Formats: sequence, C-alpha cells, structure tokens
Amino acid sequence: MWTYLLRRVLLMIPALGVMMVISFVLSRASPGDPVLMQMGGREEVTRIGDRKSRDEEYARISKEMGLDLPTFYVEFGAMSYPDTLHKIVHLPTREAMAELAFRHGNWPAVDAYLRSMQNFLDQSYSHQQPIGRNEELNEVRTTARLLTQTAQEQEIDYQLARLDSILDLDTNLRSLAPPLETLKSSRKKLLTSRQPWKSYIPTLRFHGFDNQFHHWFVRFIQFDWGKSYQSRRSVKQEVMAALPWSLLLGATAYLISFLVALGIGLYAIRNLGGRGDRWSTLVVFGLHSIPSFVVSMLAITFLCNPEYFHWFPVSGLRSDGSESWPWTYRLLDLLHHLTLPTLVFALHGIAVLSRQTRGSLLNNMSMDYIRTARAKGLSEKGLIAQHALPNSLPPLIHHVSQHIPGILMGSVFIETVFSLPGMGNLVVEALHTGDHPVVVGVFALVGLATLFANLLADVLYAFTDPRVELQSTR
Amino acid sequence: MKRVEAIPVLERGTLGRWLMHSIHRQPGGKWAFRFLVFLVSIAVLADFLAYPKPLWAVYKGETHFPMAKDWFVGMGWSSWQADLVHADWKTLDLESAVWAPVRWGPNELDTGNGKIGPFDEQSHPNWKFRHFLGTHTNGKDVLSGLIHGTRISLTIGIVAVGIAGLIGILLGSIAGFFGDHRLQLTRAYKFMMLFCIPLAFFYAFQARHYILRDSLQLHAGSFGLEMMVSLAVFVGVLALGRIMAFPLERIPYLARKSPVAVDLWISRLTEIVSSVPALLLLLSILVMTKRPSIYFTMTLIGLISWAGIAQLMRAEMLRVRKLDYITAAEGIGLTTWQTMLRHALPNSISSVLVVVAFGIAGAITLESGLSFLGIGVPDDTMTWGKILQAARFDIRAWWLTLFPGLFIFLTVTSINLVGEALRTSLDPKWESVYPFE
Repeated sequence: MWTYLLRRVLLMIPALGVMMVISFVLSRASPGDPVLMQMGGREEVTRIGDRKSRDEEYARISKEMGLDLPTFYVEFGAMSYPDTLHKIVHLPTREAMAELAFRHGNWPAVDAYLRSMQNFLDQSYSHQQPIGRNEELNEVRTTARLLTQTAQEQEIDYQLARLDSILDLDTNLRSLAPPLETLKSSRKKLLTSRQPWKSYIPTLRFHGFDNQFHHWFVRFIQFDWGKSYQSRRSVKQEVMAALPWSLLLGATAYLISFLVALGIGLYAIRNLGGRGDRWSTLVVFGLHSIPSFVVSMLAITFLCNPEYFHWFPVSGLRSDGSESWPWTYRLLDLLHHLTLPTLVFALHGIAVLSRQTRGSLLNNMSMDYIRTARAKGLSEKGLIAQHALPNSLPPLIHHVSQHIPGILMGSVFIETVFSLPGMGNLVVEALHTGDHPVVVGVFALVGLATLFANLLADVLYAFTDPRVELQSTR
Repeated sequence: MKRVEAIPVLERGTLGRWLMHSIHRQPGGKWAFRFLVFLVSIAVLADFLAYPKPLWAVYKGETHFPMAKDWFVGMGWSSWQADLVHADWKTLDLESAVWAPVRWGPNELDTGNGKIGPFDEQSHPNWKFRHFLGTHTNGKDVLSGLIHGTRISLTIGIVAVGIAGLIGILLGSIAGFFGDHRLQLTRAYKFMMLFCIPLAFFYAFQARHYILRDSLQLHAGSFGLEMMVSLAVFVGVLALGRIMAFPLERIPYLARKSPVAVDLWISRLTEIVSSVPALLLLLSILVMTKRPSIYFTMTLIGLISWAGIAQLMRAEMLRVRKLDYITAAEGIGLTTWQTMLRHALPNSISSVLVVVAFGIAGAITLESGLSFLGIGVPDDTMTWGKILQAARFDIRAWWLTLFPGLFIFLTVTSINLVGEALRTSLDPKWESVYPFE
C-alpha cells in the first residue's frame, strides 16, 4: 500500500505544476492593463500631477508586480521578437511593439521607431505654448501617445497625418517639426527594411529564474496573492474573511445531507421496493434535476415573500439594527438568516449523496458474506450495523471527500442568491467588477484543494479498502 | 430481483432500436422521450411559435411574408422597403394577417406592460396580444423568451457534449485500447514527433497569433474558421513529420520499435482536466471575452468537460480489449487501429451514451447557471437563465421564477430519465438496486 501511496503522490506533482501554470496564465490574461488597474483605474491615474511622476509611478508598480521581467523560464517564439521586449515598461506599448516586430521582422528598425516616438513625446512635453493655446499641444501629446500604442498600419498613417496637420495649422508648434520628421523617416525605414521571414523561424530562449512565473509562484506559496483592485485589501484577507462562512454553510449542509442520505439508505434496506422507498427514490431523482439556483430562487420567492410565507429573511446575515441587540438575539438572528441557504444546499447534497449511499448499502446487502452472517443467525439489525454499514462506508468516504472543494467553494449560486459573504459570492462579485487578482487567487486555491481532496480520497480509500493495492498494479 | 437480460451485441442499425427499447422499458421513459421530442420541435419551430411580426399579412393591398422576409434580410439576400424598415407591425392597419400564437419577440420591449404577471391586467387592443406568461424587464415577453431559449439550451447541450464526446471518446479509447505497451512506434517516428509537435504548435498558433486575435475581435464565426485553419496547419505539420520519418526508418537503429505509454500520459491529462475547477475557469475566461458569443460558451463547456467521458471510455476499452472477438480480429491480421475503430469502439459506444445523456443535462444546467449570473451570453440572446436572473431583482414576480424553473427542471429530468433508462438496460445489476417504478 505504501508504494501505491508514494506513486499516487508522485503522480500528483505534474498535475500540481499544470494547475499552477493555468492559474498563472489566468492571472496574466487579465482584461485591461493590470498596472493601471492596480493604480486605481484610469480616472485615479490622471489625478497624479504631471506625466513624469505618472510614468515613474507606473514603472514602480510594474516592477513591484514583477511585470518588467520575462514571462517564463523558457520562451518558445518567433525569431523576430527581441530578448529585451520585457524591458518596455508600458504594457500597451510593449504589446504594440511586439506586434510590429512580428509583422516587420526587423527589431532594430522597430526599436529606432519606438525611440523616435519617445523622443517626439518628450519634446512635446517639454514644449512651452503661449497661454490659451494649450488645446493643440494637448492634442499633439495624446496623438503621440496613441501612436506608441498601436501596431495597425492604417492607424499609424492616420495618426501621423493628424500630427502633420496640427503642426501645419499652429505656427507655435514649429519646433516640434524636426522630431516629427525623424519619426516619419524611421517609420519609412521600418517599412522598407522588412524581414518578415524572421517571424516564421522558431527560437528557444532561456531566461533563468528571474522571471514572472517564478516570482509569482514563490509569492503564491507564501500566501501573497496580490491586492484586490476594488477593496485595496490583500486577496488573502478577502479570502480569509469569506472562507469561514462558506465552510460553515457547506459543512453543516453536507452533514445534514450525509445523515439524511444514510437514513434513506438504511430505510431502503429494510423496505426495499416499498412505497416509502419508491417515493424517496423519486424525490431524490427529481432533486437531482433541479439546479440549486432554481431551488434557491423558488425558496426566496415563496418563503421570503410577504405575499406568501414570510418565514425567512431574504438575504444577508443580519437584520437591520441588530447591532444593539443582546448577543443571544443576534445569534438567533444569524441562525435565522442561515437556515434557508443551508437547507437549500443540503437538498443539493442529498441529491448527490443519497443515490450513492443507497446503492452502496444495497450492493453490500446482496453480497455472499451477508448471507453467511444471516445463516449464522445474526439479527437483521446486527447484520446492518456490524457488516453492511462498515463495508459500505469506504466508497462513501471516497465520495464525500471528493466534495471538499465544493464545500470550500461554497455554492456560487446559493451564496449569490442569498447574498452571503462567502467564497462563491466573493468570486462572482470580483468577476462582475473585473477584480482579477481575487478571481485568480480563489481559482488557484480551489484547484489545489481539488487535487488534495482527490489525494485524500484515494488515501482514505486505500486505508479502508485493502483491495486498492491490487488495482494499482493492474 | 429482475430477470437479467444479456447486453445486446450491436450489429449495424441496432443502436437505435436498442435506444428505443431501453427508453420504453424505463418507467416514465416514454413520457420523457415525448417531452424531449416536444422540446426539439419547439426549438426548431421557435420562430413560428413566437414572432413579433405576422407570418403573412396584407398591407395597403400588398401581400407580405414579414417573418420569411426578416430571415432573408438577415442573410443579406433582401432588404426591407423604406416605410417598413422600422415599422411596428402590431400597430399597422393590416387588412388581414396570420400571426404566430405568441405575438412578441424574445427581446421585444413593451414598456406599457413592464413586469406584469400572467393574470394581471394588461393594456392591449385585443386579447391575442396578451403576454400569456407575463413579462420581465421592460415588458419582454416571458413565453417568447422561453420558446426561443429552448433553442439555445438544446443547441448548447448538444454542441458542448458533442465536442466533449469527440475528445473524450478519442482519448479514452486510445488510452484504454493501446494501454502502455501496445502502441509501438519506431525511434525515427518518435524523434520526428518530438521535433514536430512544438513546430506544429508554433506554426499553427504562435505564427498565427495575430490573425487569430484579429478574427476574434471581428466575429466569433471567423474566429472559428481561423481556428480550423490553425488545426489544419497543426495536423499538416505532424503529417509532414510522419512522412519525413519514412526514409529515416531505413536506418536499423532508428527503425527499432518501442512502446509509448499513451495510457499514462492520457490518464494524467484527464486527471488534470478533471481537477481544474471547471465552473471557475469557465467564468473567468468568459468574463475576459469582450464580446460574449453563445458558440464560444458552448465550445468552452465542451473543451472543459470531456474528462468523465474519457475515463469511462478508457474503462470500457479495458473491458472490451480482453474479449475473444478482439483477439480474433487481431488474429486475422487487422491492424490495431482497425480493430479499435471498427470492432472495439462500436461495442463500447453504448455505455458512453449514458454519460452523454447526463452530460447534455449538465451542460444545459451549466448554461442556465451562467446566464443566471449574467456571464457569457450576449445581450440580444434570450435564455431561460436570463429570465430567472430578472427575478432576482424582484422577488414578488413569481412567474419569472416558476416558469423558467419548470422548463429547466422538466428538460433536465427528461434527459436524466433517458440516461437512466440506458444505464438500467446496460447494467442489469444496477436495476436490482434501483427499482424505479
């Protein structure tokens, strides 16, 4: 058995690695510029005085997030990309330059083009304009900014022509004409010296340990999962605030449903095919087909509604004004709020567990050793308590431990409908507000939990069922 | 304990008969099957059942077929005349007209009748314009939404499980049938594959990165097309590698064969895919796409959910592989691939159908859940989940919960019943455990 367990643990390592890589890819694939989001969104950023301090702040945060490093230990990509692409700090510019490098295949020319653009931008920012004529200058600046972030040929042509026309119209901007000329000539050079074949030659590059994935991974295992864009708190804090509620809800619900499922199974042994058994089977089958969000919506509509039965509060954990109540009242209030979600969750759990329990128990009851025990004169109760039940528990334990991530995660739908501050609700809110670090943190956590729960399930199974070893050697 | 019937050996054309036979033996199976046929007809005839314009109308002495015309206009083959482009056919003075039973589109607003119940008073010129099951946000018709949502739900179920089934059956049967020792490849072949797989990946996806990205921003359909091209490139490069391996195989050292542990690799892959939190991954990818498309959602569901099918298929293949007729097939000189595809696969496909049935039910549930959360479904597409979502903002509107809930429940129950029927007929032992009548 120990070799089986060792083998099982060793085989989990690649799965762990892949899970970490998927989480990392998700964390890098955030919509929008993560640095800007970390700085508090576009509006917040424009409040930071001048351009120079804004750029410095951007570079600082980018460095803090480790985004100015190569992505992975190795890089497999087109030859036309340079080694040093990650040194362009501004992410949209980096992407645009990468695309240009791919389209034209000539990195030195792209580099020269980028430098002339930056030169032009610097000049436009140091340019002094007579009072009242700032509009044109600002337009020049924004156009030049846009130019650094685009790789579409038409768009570049359009922006260049626009710069030209603005400079033509305003005589005060004449001093910007020479850098614009250099910009245009570097662009022309880029177009004439194309080497697109370079983009079709694959190359392998090694970046060493100083890369984004490595730093991300090291931070991740140190529980540093980044900062939430919305609340400005660390993801760890957010998760720690949400986890207890999910655990409470899930553990209670699964306990209830396990007991009910066991009850259904035991009842079925004694009254196989009877009316009660048939009905319970039918109900469980029906429960299996109703998604939890439908059940919770129905519960809310008919049990939390003054027009029908107002037995339970609609959402949240506390009633209004409950802060001033004595703690016994507050506790009762909390339980009152938690009852309905727990019941709905338990219904879901019963649907999942009871078929398994019933099947497992009945399967054991038809085994030969039961017949032997019965022939030996054991009472029917003793038969169940001493033989059938202990023997049907291992597959059940296996089954239940596979649901641990589900408990951890809470039910996304139930928590959303009842607005409980658990993990599921946390993720859904984060998804809707674009709070990417929270989503990735929870994703990685639940992914790891799933892997370890599977391991736990197999280990428990191996300890409770000696036949497992035979399976492993196949 | 019931009489145990032998599992039917499948000959050509018996699959369908076996399906119907098992469905009819399942208590309630007949009704489930009928309900599914009813649902499919709703999905196919959705436009004839609920449409905001008449099917046939005479207006100012001219005969129109507005619904058919809309379809042609949508395809770009025709265009509306100027005075009818934005016309509201319900207020036009029609001389005579044939309407669909429900005269509202799934996304049509009727602000005068915003969020009213089926039994409430509605302001219409005529009872035929009533919202029979009430309205939700800004007066969108519930019944019409349910009818058109049927089409989306069934498509999602079938397409997603189709993709999952294709991947799962292929990988699972290769893993199960070849195991770790039966796939013998020459060293030349292995060497070329080692070399060509990264290359194929590079030319198919990395070199086409910007083309794929641009097509994704353009339209989901063109992205699908470009993806096909990429896959073709991938397969093409691999095929080229295979061809280039032939001359190398003349060298004795390179021609030596050794086994490839396909089972090990595929089982690892399956384990990884099955331990990824599917719902979370789905949600976070879908949120990132700027323009949600229902086809993207179903493809993604399919790509994430094949692990179960692959595991089952592998187990089935392990069982079938040991049967005598497989040995016989190999004995008469068929290649391993031929034996697998022609003889082993058809015999294991019936048990996969059980998982496929449950998979369709699962995909439909998942999609309703996604649109309930408002993720992954475009604004102009009405689904069952979206009507449920509308209920979240007003718990008094019981009709917004009850009717879509009922639709989801009945559909999923029917599909599950069919799956149950197949399982019962495949595993007679289970039947004794599960007296479902």
